[in-house]
Amino acid sequence: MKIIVEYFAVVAEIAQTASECVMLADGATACDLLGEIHRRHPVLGRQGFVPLLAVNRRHADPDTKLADGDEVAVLPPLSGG
Amino acid sequence: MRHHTRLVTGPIDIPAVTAQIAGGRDGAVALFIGQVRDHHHGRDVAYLEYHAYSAMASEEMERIAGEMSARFDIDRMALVHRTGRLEVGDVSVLIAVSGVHRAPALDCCAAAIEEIKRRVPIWKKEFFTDGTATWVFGPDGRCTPDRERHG
Repeated sequence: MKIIVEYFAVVAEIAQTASECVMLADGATACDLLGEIHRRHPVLGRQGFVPLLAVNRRHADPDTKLADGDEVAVLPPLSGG
Repeated sequence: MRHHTRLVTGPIDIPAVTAQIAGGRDGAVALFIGQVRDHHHGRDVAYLEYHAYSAMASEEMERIAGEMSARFDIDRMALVHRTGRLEVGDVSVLIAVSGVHRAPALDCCAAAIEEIKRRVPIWKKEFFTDGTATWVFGPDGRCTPDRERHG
């Protein structure tokens, strides 16, 4: 299945892109996607923080099951306000 | 129940937003105004940039307004967050809550800013007067270890 991954703030700077498509096996979870993202962008794993994930614009747990066409955002620790 | 939640790129008009939610029958309007401070961890801030995942930020602010209104029995509230470049002293966030009594209005205001900081996908990048810049990590304001130069 095809997942659209979006990167923000410092994560986008590290990944050097704002968005990319990732193909995953059916039944994959957000955690599986994060593993694939770390394989593509190993520097992300050395930043000293665990990114938050949002699926279709809602915060999501790592065990969330993904579906074809989902939009998954990779969010560094938030600092609004 | 009336909510106004907005992401804006220009100055926040505090009287206009407050007027939108102030109910003539309510006894209290509580405000929280967040503004850009001129220092962070002992360093002088020149300006900030707020970056947002705009589509989700708008939806999350709407969810927070709904939840806070229900929890504190509030009829009218506004959440406004500014993004882009902000100078020292600029207003970055405004929360306005109109309530029958002051206690729930104040409590709602205090809870809403904590929820915004915890949940709304917005990030702050600080540019210091010494020419360096860092992303701020987390609501407690920890900086990234690596500083980069800016113009």
